[in-house]
Amino acid sequence: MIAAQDLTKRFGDVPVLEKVTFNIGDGEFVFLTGKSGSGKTTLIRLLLRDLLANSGSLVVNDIDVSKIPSGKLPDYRREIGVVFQDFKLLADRNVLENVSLPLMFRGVTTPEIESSTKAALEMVDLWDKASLFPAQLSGGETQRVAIARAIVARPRLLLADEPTGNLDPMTAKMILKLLREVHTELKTTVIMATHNADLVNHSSLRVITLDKGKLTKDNQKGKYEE
Amino acid sequence: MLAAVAIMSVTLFLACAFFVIAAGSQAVLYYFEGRPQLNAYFKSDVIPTPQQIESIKSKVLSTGLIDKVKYISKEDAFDIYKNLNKQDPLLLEAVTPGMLPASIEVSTKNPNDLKAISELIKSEPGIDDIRFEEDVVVNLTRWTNSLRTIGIVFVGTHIFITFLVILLIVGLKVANRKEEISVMQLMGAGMGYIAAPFVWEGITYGIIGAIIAWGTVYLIILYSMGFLLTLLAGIPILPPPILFMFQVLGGTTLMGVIIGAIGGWLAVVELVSGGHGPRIVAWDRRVRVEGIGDLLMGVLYPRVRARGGGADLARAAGGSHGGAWLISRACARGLEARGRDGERPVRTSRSSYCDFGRSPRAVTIRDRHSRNVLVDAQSETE
Repeated sequence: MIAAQDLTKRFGDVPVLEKVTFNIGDGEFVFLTGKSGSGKTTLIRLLLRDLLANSGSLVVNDIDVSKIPSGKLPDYRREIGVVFQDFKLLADRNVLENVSLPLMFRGVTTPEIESSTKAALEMVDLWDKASLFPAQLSGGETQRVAIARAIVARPRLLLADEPTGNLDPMTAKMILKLLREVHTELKTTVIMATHNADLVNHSSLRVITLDKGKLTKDNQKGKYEE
Repeated sequence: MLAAVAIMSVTLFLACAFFVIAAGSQAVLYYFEGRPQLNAYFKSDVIPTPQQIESIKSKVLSTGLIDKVKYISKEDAFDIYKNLNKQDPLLLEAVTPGMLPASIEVSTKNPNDLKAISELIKSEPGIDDIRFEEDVVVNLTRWTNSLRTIGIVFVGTHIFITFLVILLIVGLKVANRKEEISVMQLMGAGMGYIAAPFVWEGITYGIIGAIIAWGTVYLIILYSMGFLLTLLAGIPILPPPILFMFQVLGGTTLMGVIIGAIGGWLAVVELVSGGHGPRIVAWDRRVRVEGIGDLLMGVLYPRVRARGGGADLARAAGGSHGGAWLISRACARGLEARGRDGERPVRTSRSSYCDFGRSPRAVTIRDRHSRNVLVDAQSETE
């Protein structure tokens, strides 16, 4: 599913990722951990092809990410759901409209948009708030809307960049539970970047740890280690 | 919105007005061209024989320059006279068929040949006088061609200006929504989805502008109908046919729609092709800023425009060579470039082309006098 080989990214003279190598199989749930500035977000952005690596290779679903022409980029990104730490919901659209956006990009028919959006909102238990705007939601609700938006088109890969970063511990656990449900029910490969050790240690999932841009640990037992 | 509609209306008004005037001139030209251009009158006491008439006809036809040739007998001439003066019985009573000369009407394919034909007929026996409207047709042709050229240049210039204004106005709206567009791109939105609202906005400006322009032209024609009828002295081209005016409306609207749609589309492409609007896309002592802000600079300060087109508009270099030229030009033209690394300013040396002491993580370019920010770009690392 995902194969990174000697992946390196620098900003100017500053290395952010250095020769990172890993493989993630179809349907895996992987935590990406490390301190702030360790390169987690950069790796997520490389996977999303928001950035290009300086060297090394990154293959996602048999596609060499660095070789995707700009015209094909939307097609590539449509296979990926993404949850941002700061949610990035569109403020002038209500919950229903926000969640249905990825389906509209795909040119899906209106009845299908309606049914898929309803299913996604029911999954995150927010169907009753479909007509509200982002500003009218709590932090946890906003993040659940972002998750609904990320999964509504049933992507093969779900990237979550610190989805619990701004949330209280209870809500953070609920969000993780939700992501695991998505992973189980939709068989989606999930990569969740986090530095929340408590969340990671209470799961038994694979943990990839980055430190100063280098992959320092790839722990299959679900242990957060700095 | 008002500015966009106003400039669009003015441009389309000019286009519409020039087109109507050119079409009117063309109609007048056709009117004159359609009339017999040369009349060869026989002496009034001569009744030409059929052989004489045929001889003249075949002589002029043999030149190959003739479109039409027709013999007008004394009786035909009287009928024409009666028709022209049917409102005035006194004039009708005063004239009899015998008083009017027979004539031959000739139309050439090219008005410039009238003189040669005139020379040819002049020597024929019985011909008394030859009259033709060479000057009218030639002058009218010249006037119509000039009008068309002036119109194309004038309207073309205005279309270009309108295009830039639409690009700027829609571009500003696009820039205001760059964050939203960036999120949509990351979620897989294609260019069509992102551009559609802005293209529609441009099209709306075009349609509103076209209706205002066409309405104004039509009102002016109707208001000055009396004056125009006098000016045209019986040339039957007024009032303009309703169908023609609706065709003009269709053409004007189409023009407005095309200008608006292309302007809207390019405004989005400029942003989207940069990826995230104004931003620093490459650096390592050298910095390049791309995006809509650059486009604004390109328009406001054309000499700052990069060699590669609208994209590369601002470059800064830590060294004394390389990409410094654009920022240096920006500074030379009253702009100020400031580099930042987080909250810390990166020193710039204005005396030496605004070179940055080291690679900044963000660049702000503003007008020194108005303090308006033209480019505020962040690096990929932030």
